Amino acid sequence: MNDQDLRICATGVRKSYGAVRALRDVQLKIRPGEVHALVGENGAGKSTIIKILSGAIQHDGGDLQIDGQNYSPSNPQEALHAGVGTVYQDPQIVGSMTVCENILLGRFPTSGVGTLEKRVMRDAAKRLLEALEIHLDPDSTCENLSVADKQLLQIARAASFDTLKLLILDEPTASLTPSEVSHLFGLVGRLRKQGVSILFVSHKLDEVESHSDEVTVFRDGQYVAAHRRGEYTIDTLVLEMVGRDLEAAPAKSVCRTDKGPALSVRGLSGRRFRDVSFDVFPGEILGLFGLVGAGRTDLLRAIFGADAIFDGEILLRGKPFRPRHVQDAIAHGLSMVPEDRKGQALVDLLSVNENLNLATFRKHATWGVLNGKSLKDATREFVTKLGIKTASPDAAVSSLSGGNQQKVVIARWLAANPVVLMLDEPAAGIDIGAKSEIYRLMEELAAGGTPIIVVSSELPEILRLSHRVGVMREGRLVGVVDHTEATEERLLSLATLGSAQEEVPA
Amino acid sequence: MPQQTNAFKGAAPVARPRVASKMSVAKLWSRYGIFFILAVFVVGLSIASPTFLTPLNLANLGGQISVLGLISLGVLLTVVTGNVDLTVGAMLSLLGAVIAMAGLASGAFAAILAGLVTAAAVGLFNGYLSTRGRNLSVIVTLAMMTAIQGITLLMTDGSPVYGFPDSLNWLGAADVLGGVPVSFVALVVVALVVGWFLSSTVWGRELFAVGGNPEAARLAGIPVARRVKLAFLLSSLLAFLAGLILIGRVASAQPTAGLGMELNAVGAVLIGGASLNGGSGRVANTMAGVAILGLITNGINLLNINGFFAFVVTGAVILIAILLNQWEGGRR
Repeated sequence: MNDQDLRICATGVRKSYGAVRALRDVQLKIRPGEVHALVGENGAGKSTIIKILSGAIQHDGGDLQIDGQNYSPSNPQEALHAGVGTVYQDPQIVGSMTVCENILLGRFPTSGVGTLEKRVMRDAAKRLLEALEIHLDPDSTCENLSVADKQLLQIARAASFDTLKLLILDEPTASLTPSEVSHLFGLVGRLRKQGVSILFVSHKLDEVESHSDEVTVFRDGQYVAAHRRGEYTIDTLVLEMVGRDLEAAPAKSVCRTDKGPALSVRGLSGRRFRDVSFDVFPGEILGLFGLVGAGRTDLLRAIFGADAIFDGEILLRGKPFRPRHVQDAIAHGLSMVPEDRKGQALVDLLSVNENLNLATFRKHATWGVLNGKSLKDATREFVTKLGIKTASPDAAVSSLSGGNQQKVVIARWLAANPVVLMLDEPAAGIDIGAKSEIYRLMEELAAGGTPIIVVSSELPEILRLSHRVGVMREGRLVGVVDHTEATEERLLSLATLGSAQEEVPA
Repeated sequence: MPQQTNAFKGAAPVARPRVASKMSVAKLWSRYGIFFILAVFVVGLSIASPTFLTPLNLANLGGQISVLGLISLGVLLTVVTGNVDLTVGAMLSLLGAVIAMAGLASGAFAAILAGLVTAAAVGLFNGYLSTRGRNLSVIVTLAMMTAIQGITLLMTDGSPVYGFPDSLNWLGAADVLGGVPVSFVALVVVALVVGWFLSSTVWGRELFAVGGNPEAARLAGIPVARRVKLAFLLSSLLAFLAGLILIGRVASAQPTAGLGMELNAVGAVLIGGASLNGGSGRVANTMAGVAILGLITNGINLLNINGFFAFVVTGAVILIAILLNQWEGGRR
């Protein structure tokens, strides 16, 4: 295809931040009316090119054209009017305003004297939502919308500009359930039929394979390759993204000892989960799979004393245990890496050193006075052991990449010598390299005898890590499957259909 | 990016160098700019007024800022946790009155005891109220401030209390080392202790964690509500000390002595770079803020300017300093 006919033709695009070259000579060619995926590890330059296209930042050099015209928006407004709409990971929605107002934000139609033309607004919004088959009430406020609905709303907002030529979606499916994902891609398909090009960034390669007409791979701020649909395999993509082979998952050696379970849960009920029973043995990784909202996170939080337990009991090494609060659970050797790293685990204003030792300050203190050297020694130990890339122990934790931040959070709990380690979505939003390091770390820990409970919505992750997989659906544990029998189909059907109670508890 | 086993090699390549030139100036400013403003004030006043650098004036100034300094430290402790204690001004009035009246009735020892107990009770109650929900501290301490001021007026019937034992005046009125006010020495010592507490103790660091991200702090096993109560308790104990100094200066307890002082204290903390969102704040910068506010009043006296200007200048300086502090934050 001739470059003149392309929707977006970016060649030789460069962007530096000070001495760091975020993009050096990348190209991106998107045809009209195609779904184009952009993949790469964190730091590959995906967000930089998106920000350039959406007008949030300006490129330093290179050629950027939209429909054969030069294109260099100096702000997001200009980009929107040129036909480029962007939907970021965190939907930018004003919660207290209505769906209709959010769609037309900044362009409210007014009558001659400046009063709002509410009827015109509602009609416009209604027509748009109907055309896109988005089932939202234009008059309802956005406070209680789900993340998925907020995303759809933002797409509607982008589509409300008649000029929409390119829709950019930044990790659109990161926090969506499978049915929401299919809904989203349905909408994407409708826009595509209207001739809109779609550029989406994703870490989920199977999604890329099944939904994109073409995929472009970036690595370290450089263009690596582009493939048409059907002309590549996921393995090629991974290889191109990483630039090396990932180690294969080691064979699982379930070293179940004669010792009893480290943690047993009997008939536990709490907010959003009911009557859950299972055991975790020393040296074992128990996966907890389910759809978003199946109650896995709530179960973990209740065991960790962060949420209330309504009924049932927990046995820790055979002894009854009922956490009154988090401190109680920690004192008994429980640890939990929460699902939301930024919101629930890290204190951005504190250093790596302090974040890493946050749960174990007492170990480094005499009469409440901290021993700075002892703290830093501990940090250095974990920085080396886990391969955390940080300028120094005193660096702000916010200066680290997502994967390294996650390692800091994991190190926080390793420092506490946990009896049971629980991790909630441990690899969410981190790049493939860091992911496999975290997997290896978990496997080493388990091999060393620490039982691990891991909640994940990613089937490959669950299958790779778990010795056994518990599947939850609508607050109930609907099955525990041994890794020898666990397949994607089996787990998914349990999670969605919840066939009869099986082998509970194992 | 390729895997590296050596942890410190190629460290944090994304975020650090980009900020090298422009950001570091902003960062330096946000951390040390307040000292620059303070230096400008000191130099300016030294030139403008021959009496400024005299020992008498400096001693006077030291005594004047000690009360504001102590309550500002209290406010700082609460601000670090993401709360704010607006009762410190009203508490000055109340504790002064309690100490004076108890001193009048049953002697100095009873007066100190009554003051401490009252301070602790009010502080814990403030902390209790502020931890009933999210972001409650402004409104609950605002309500408490009004109630406390009212109680003080009722207790004293609106008139000053005097005639209490002379020993209670020592902290506010005595000098040491040939002219240094004891109250100033007390401020310096307390500031050093609070600075050490915040930087080097478990509780101190946990206060920052609680303010920076309460949910993360809770899930790391930090008893969040208890730490917030601790901050309020310490704040009111510092107000007790300040109240003792305040009545000692004039040998009487004025029922409205602390009126409006909480605003100057919050101002000093904020121009010292702390954020009302919590998780940040430095003792040295707060003290520089206190000194600047003290210099404004002092300078206006020395230069024989209409005293009402002090309000205007104080407001302007707080505004300018806070806008300058946005430099770093506004850059991203």
